Amino acid sequence: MSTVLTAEDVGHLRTGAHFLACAIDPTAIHVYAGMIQEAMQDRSVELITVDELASDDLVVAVGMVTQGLFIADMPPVGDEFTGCIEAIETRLGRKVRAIYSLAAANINGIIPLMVGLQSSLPVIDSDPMGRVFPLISQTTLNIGGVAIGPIALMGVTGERAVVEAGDPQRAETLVRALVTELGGWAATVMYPCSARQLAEHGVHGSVSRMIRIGQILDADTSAESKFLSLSDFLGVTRIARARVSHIEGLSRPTDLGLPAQPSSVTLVDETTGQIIRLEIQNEILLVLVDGAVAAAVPDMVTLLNSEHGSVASLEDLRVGNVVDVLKLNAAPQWYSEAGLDLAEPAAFGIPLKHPRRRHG
Amino acid sequence: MVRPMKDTRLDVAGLLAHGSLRGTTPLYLTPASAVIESVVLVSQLEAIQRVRPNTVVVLSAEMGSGGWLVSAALRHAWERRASAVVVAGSTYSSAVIGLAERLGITLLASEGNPAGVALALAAEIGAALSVVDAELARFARAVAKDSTLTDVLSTISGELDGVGVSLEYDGVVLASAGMAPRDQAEVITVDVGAANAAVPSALTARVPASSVLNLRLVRSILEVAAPSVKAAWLMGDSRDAVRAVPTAALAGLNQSRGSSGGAFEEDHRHLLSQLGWRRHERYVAVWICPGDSNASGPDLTAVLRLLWRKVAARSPLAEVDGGWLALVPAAHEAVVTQLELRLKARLRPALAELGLVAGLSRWVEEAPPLPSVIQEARLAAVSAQSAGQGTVLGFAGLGVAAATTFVDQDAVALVAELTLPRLMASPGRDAIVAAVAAFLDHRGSVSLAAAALDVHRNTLQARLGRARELGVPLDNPSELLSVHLVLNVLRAGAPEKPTSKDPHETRKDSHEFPV
Repeated sequence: MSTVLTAEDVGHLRTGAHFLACAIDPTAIHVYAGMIQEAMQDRSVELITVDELASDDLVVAVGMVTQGLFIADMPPVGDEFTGCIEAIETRLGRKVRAIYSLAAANINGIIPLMVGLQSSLPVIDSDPMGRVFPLISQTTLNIGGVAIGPIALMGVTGERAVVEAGDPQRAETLVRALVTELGGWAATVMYPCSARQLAEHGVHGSVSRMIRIGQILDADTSAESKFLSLSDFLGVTRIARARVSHIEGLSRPTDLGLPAQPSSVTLVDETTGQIIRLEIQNEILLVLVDGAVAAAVPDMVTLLNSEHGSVASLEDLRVGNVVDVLKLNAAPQWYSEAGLDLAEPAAFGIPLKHPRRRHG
Repeated sequence: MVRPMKDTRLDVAGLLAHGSLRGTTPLYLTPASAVIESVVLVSQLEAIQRVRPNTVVVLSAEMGSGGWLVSAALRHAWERRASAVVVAGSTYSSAVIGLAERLGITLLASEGNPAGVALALAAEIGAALSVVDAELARFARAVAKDSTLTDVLSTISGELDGVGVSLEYDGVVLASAGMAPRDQAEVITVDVGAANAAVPSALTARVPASSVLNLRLVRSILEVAAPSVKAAWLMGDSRDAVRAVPTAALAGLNQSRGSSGGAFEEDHRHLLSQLGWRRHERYVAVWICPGDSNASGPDLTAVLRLLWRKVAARSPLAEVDGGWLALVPAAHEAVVTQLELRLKARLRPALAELGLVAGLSRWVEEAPPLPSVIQEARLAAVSAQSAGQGTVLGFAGLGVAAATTFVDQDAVALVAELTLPRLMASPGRDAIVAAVAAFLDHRGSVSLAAAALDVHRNTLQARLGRARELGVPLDNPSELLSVHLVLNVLRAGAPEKPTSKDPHETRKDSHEFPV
């Protein structure tokens, strides 16, 4: 059922997008949310489910790919995504019927709304990650064998490129190189596929989920009641409520293919004495409780301010602060053998098997 | 005197002070120094999940030295009860060291390549193990010199600081040495095979929980000693078998029950003196047989001979038709009393466990013929069968009552059914049977019988009258023996009397009369 999104929905979506990727700086989400709410005064954007489309309708993923540069430091001109959609339509000789988010969290969770407003294309309530991953090859569409290309990229200078590569890993390498050349970030359009392919291999309900999370977290209720609602809605579990005791920088060698510098944070649960260690690289990849794995990517780990129940950013992780460490499961596709091959800790340079793989 | 095994255990504190861990920096040391038995150099975290307890886990330099890695390694090492974790030298956060402290596991940082520490430690452990091997070889030579089971067990126990060592069959201790611990003990058992292949037996050491002995070393010592235990047992058994030949021969000759003991001795005078039996010497016989006459179990001769040593080591136990027999010289009555006491104190639990019973002959002033002594013991043992496994019964306490053991109870019960149908059908049958049997037990005294049954004498009188009405022939002396026999059988077959008093029964101290 299609929904016309309101400015209020966008506000909640902003909170939900931050919640699902708390370790990433949310400035750009706020900038985009503001722009979208402004634009919605005279235009509207429609959220549809994938089965509202004809099965062979062309749909594309839209998302920012960054390489070391914050988008807020060099804001887009505005025509980057529409330029990419045109390039794909030209290349494929077909019209794009709807767009979907490359990753339903963080900035890429909110960008499709902006693109929808600009292009009048409906936004599909689905995505190919169900969370955010740093690599464009880490998608459920890739697990399902849907081709990543052709990929259209456009940077802040207006330069545009179309990449055609059969192998998703190779496409990743080419796109990373181009993004660096284009100025540190690029608007991209990729995974052009039929609505049927997205229906079969995507993660569904992921945009409305962000809105619902936002509604819970933005509500004027206690931190505990927010946690209980999240637990009911998403199956969120609390690993610990703990005080930050130590923050350290680089703790392991970085792979050139991975975008960000790793760091780790140690917390102490003052009631149990447990020592909790978070390994962070873009995202919280691993949580060790007394050295035992409590959560590992593709599990999602997020932090809430224990007092207000608001999302805790990395900036809030200061020695002495108390936060709730929460865990939620990723989409089921990620726990298949192929899913774990793409997204378990080993894929991020941490030589550790995901606990679910060990138990068959 | 056995020299106790040299202590070759390695521990973290010792090796840090003057061993292969000297080149490492302790990041955290547990208050108690952990024992070291092995070392592994790991290049994958998962490998730590398979290490044995008391292992030093060395993380290879290729694994890196990240805090998360050390944290996860500490956790796995803790789960496997490792002795310590050695990591490449680096700057570690207080959080990592805090986790080592929380889990109680030593964390060491190597100054050079950790592989170097692993190699040096492996060499040191190897050297310690070769010392253990040399010590085991010395022990094997020492124990091989012992020829009796007692000496072998004493040598083993001495080697193990005097801990309790025993040879056991099916939970029955056959022979032991050393002190059995009073507190909780770690039980280490090694299969001995047996003197007889059908009899599985085990060599067991009970190491007190407080002991500092290395349990793996204890097991090695038991394994090395097991062949000596078996050899000593076999040798002792064959010696006992030779010594038991005269007893076995005597029992074999004494097959015919009809002839009198005296005539038998006269007939076989020469043979008996050749076997070493002297006339007019007094003996007491002990007969051991299965508690259930139909049971057929494993051949327990070798096991019983070891147990018998606890009772009368000098008189051999012979395997005979239907059981085992020993003839013990008994110059005085006290010898018989002592023997019976020893049988009950030292052998009864084992007999019960093995499903056996034992009977003893009487001591008589005038030396009885040997065949009579043997028959008494055998009859006592057969009588003991009805009293349950493990029973030790002296013929002296039995006398002519032994005869009742041989009464066919089923046949007597059938006679009762046929000849006393009214009694058998009577609802108060059990009370009447008990009353009449007690009356006959007390030679016709109503007062004594009433006292024995704890009822009023009028009650007893009434029941006797009722018995007569039901056709029990109490007034014909020639039938009394048979009546007594029948009633004894019926009484034995009656259900147990309930403990709560029958409200209709008049007690002897009551002034009421039965209605």
